[in-house]
Amino acid sequence: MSLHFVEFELNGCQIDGMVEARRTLLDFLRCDVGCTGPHAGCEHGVCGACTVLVEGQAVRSCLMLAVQANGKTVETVEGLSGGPKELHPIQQLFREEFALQCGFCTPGFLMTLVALDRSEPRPNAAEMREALSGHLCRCTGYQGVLRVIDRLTEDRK
Amino acid sequence: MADASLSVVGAPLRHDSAHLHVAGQARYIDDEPETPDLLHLAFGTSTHARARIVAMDLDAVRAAPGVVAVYTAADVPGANDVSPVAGDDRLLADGEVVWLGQPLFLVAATSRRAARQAARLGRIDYDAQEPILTVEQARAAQSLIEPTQRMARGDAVAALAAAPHRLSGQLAMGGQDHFYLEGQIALARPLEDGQVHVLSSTQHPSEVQHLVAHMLGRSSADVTVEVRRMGGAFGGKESQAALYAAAAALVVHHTGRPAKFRADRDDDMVQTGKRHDFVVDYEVGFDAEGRIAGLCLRLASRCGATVDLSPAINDRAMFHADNAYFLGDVEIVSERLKTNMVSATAFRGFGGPQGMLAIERVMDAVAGHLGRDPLAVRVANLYGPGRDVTPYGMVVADNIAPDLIARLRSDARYDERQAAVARFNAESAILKKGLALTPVKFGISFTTTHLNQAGALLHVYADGSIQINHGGTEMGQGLYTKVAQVVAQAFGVGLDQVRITATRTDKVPNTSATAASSGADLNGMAALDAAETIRARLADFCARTFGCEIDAVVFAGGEVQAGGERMPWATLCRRAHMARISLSATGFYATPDLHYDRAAHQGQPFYYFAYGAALAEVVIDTLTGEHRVLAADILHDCGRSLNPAIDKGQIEGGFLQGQGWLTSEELVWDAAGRLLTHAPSTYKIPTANDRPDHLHVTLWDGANHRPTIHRSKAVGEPPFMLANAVFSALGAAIAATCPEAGWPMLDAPATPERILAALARQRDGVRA
Amino acid sequence: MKPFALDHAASPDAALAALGKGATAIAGGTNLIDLMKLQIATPERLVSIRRTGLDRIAPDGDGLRIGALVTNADCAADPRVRQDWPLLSQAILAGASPQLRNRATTGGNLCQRTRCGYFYDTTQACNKREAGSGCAARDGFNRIHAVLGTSDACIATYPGDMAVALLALDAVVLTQGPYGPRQIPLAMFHREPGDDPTRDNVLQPGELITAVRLPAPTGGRQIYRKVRDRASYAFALVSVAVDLTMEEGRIARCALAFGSLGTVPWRDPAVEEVLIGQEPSPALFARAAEVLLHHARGFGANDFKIPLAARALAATLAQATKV
Repeated sequence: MSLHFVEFELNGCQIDGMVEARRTLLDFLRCDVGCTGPHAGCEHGVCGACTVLVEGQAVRSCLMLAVQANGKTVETVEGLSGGPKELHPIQQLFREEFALQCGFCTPGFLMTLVALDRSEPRPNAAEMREALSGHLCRCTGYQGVLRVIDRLTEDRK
Repeated sequence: MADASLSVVGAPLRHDSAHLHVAGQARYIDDEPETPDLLHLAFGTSTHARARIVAMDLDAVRAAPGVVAVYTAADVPGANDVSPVAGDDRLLADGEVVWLGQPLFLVAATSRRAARQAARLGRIDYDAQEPILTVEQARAAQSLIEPTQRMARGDAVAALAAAPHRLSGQLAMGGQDHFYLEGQIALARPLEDGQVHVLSSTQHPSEVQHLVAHMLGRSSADVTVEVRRMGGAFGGKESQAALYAAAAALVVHHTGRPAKFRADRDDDMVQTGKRHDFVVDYEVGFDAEGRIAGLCLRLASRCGATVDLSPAINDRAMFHADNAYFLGDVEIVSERLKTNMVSATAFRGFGGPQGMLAIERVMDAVAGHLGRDPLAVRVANLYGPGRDVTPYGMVVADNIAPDLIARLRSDARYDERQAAVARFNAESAILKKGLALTPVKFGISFTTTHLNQAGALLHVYADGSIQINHGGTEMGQGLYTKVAQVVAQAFGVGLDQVRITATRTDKVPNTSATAASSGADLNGMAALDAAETIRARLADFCARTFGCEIDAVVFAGGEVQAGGERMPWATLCRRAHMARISLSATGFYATPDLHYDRAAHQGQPFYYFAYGAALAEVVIDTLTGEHRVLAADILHDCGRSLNPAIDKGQIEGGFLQGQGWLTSEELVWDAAGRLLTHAPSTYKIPTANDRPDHLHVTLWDGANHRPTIHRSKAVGEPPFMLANAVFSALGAAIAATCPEAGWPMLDAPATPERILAALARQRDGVRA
Repeated sequence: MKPFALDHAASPDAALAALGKGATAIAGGTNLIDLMKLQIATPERLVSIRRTGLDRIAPDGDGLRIGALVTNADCAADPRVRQDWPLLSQAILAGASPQLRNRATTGGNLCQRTRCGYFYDTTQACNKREAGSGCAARDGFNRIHAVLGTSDACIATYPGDMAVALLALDAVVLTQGPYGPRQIPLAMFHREPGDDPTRDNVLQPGELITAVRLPAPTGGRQIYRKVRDRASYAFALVSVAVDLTMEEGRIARCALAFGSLGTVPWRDPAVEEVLIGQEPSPALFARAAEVLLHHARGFGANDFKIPLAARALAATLAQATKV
């Protein structure tokens, strides 16, 4: 069993560690780094709860090896704000619009929306809705998340 | 005692953990820090649905890397039982297996991967028998979990014979996986003197506590179960969580090390129960208006291999086979079939959706037969004066269904849109639209009467902060927020003064599951009881101290007014503490006026009914069988809502979950009894793109006629059945291709191939 | 996941060298890592090819050359692709989810394995996973399985969308291998199972996809129609890719490919011959479907795919030929 040195920028901080090649980025983040915002929902890349940003792009951390993140920038929900008291505007919208119930899927939704919100040209509401179809939520019926999108795209007008 | 202002209860306040959820800081069990001695668990499971175990060779399992211990039924010190009622669910199989995927042995290893890999290495010698899987096989073998039940009034057969019109038909509806995003998980830790602490993602901490204690051969006082939040549950963590909690506790018992069992998603889907699938046969007699004169309904469900909660679930299907309609002479027969599959279990609606979908199909079939508008048939059959007693003998005393339907009909422009749909269908050859408006009347209470009780524990600290604990569990539905609102309101303080803490069996004992939509009804009342106890002590203290009448003490706006005195709430708390007033109290509530004679299926099993109605508009592509829900307009009754924003969330989420059950979520077992749809790639819950293009939810404005907590109504389950409108609308769209053929035979879920098959039958003129 | 060794290749040559020593290439890994988790794929050596520089889209004569490492997201969003080969963009966007498309690559997508449930269930017989073990799907739950190109050994479909569009667009797969470069027309890239379902495509050991080349745009009307169980994020029950040009009320040119219908992305020149030169009509579309499905064979649960394919074809052609 060979160990690989991996280092990357996580939420603005440089981190490193020795990992087995087979360690997924999700397991590395949750178990080795203690960064438990990305959740293990299905672990087959379907549900979206483990979504993080790698080089600014939303990806499934359960279908990526930790070593594949070597030298990259990785962002998780923890990096969006300084904590529950100073929320990122999209986090704030999620809260205001009741876009969550059990909250397990929420970090994944947030990461995809944040990436979309930053991208140029900025996607319209329909494109954002389509992007969200890669995230499963069993509680809300997605209605609150769509209100968030409406407000995000309104704010830009 | 003057009531405080209504600013907290009834306000659309945010979920108490929302700020944590969005920051990734709301802690679930899997987020707990792991100590180096933590053991990870996995089950070795059966590959036969029905067999005798001849021998188990687990040497390879024990020898696998990372494995610390392997346990079988022989290692269970107490009762090998994780069942809610009947004592027939084994933690680990003992001699025989009754479903494919049943846990046989338990592996404890140093990593989750090691445990899972080792669990595959067991060599099991089976003496396999032919499993009973289908409805037909179970009927032929008379394989039942309990005797067939009958609920009846009058003489349905005679009424049928005398009716001017008669119809018969069949409807099959599939089961449903809960697909909570957080899978089953438990983390058990050893305490001193053999005690165990279990973090369990469960809706029923008390039951987990009792089962774990019984399994270990210890007393309930030795086991503490705690749950702060679940990542969704929907009924799937009512009885099903006990298996994993018991496994973790067993390992703690033997090793003295903490143990975590996080089920893999596929394993979770195979190992835990689902909604019951049903086959319904009906025979109905009716007049020219479509009013039902007589009805024989036969409900058959596959309950799986053990009893679990199936008796109560199938009872609820019978209770809801009337939905909002007066059925006159009626016979409802309910077969509870025992099959060699994972035991079917609680799922939002608890049998209600199946019973209700059955009667909605009857309404549609009658309308199709007569060529009448289905809504006219529905309205003609509603409960009303002189027609207000259910088949189980309960008077429908709060019947708002006629008014609620009339309002939705007008607000959502049913008639205008129905005409527009007809015009569209006349001009469109390939795309066909359908529109339907269906009601919901859902009985609120556990139908097992003794479960309708709850407790709370309330502390007011000397600094004025308040800590509330109750027996209900938080699974995202906002129960903690609602109960905190009730408490804040009672003391006239802001919600920020109230800290609501994790549900623990050492704080509030002997609780019922957070289920049957009862969470806020029961725990809100228990919390209010506790709050009123403390408030009365404080009012008495004020009256004595400041020389005023007790009734003149007012708690409002974060202040207390007593006679001429006025002081901040915190000041009062401090003074009361100095005066040696107890600021801690328990609260209790038991729902009144419930009684039920199960042998006769007569009585008053519900405290009240929650109502709603939905109008759904769909379009189908007759070439491909695809469909889209264009719009849903919902009017739903939450009584006087404790929190309209949270209630709307329950309605929106329940509706889409119901839509998934009826359209895209399909469970398939093969001929050996193996579940084939056990992954999110093969089991398809709705995505954001499947929700209606237009979804409009309005709350019915009216108080509960019963003195429930602030006159609110339960909202967890009832909205699920609003999605019946989608299924009826799909039927209407198919019917539009050939209306003279009557209502189409469409089973649920309405996948593209089922819609195509229904279209083909419609074309060939097969009547429903 | 079983333990494995991992190397990073900084160039195509380095990748080829590693492949030559028996390593398995990993690009986005969105399918491979899942297969490794399930221990369906158990490579001992992986070589990451993400830094081989094969991630550019460049003009190629009148056509376009899409590097093997171009992500699905980038390919679908490329202005040239959207302008001149919209079929490709539509097909990619109809598949998977944005988060997967951000990782999944052009070459990897072509090599993705089937989603046959028996292939994924290691307790079941599957000739594709384990040669000679049998096919549990034939008599099992085969709702999503193929009705064309099947064999006694295997009825699994190729699951993807992108390749279906590429097939209709006459794309060519460019490879490098131990015996030099190859240009493999997409129509010849995937293999029908025959009696060896373990090999999904004609890539040789040690061979690496470097790019996909699109020929000059046809200027035709391009539509990708995907029938599935829910509105997004589901594999197709049947999909139809059409690139069609009308002249004076007749179908002048037409390319048609089908997904989730056959064991490989399916294209049948005879179907196109039926249509070319004709005035569009429901009868014509029905005749085309007859030709397409003449040899189709259902296995029970997937019987519905045969009429469904005929109807999906008719619907797509009706849309594509509408004035």
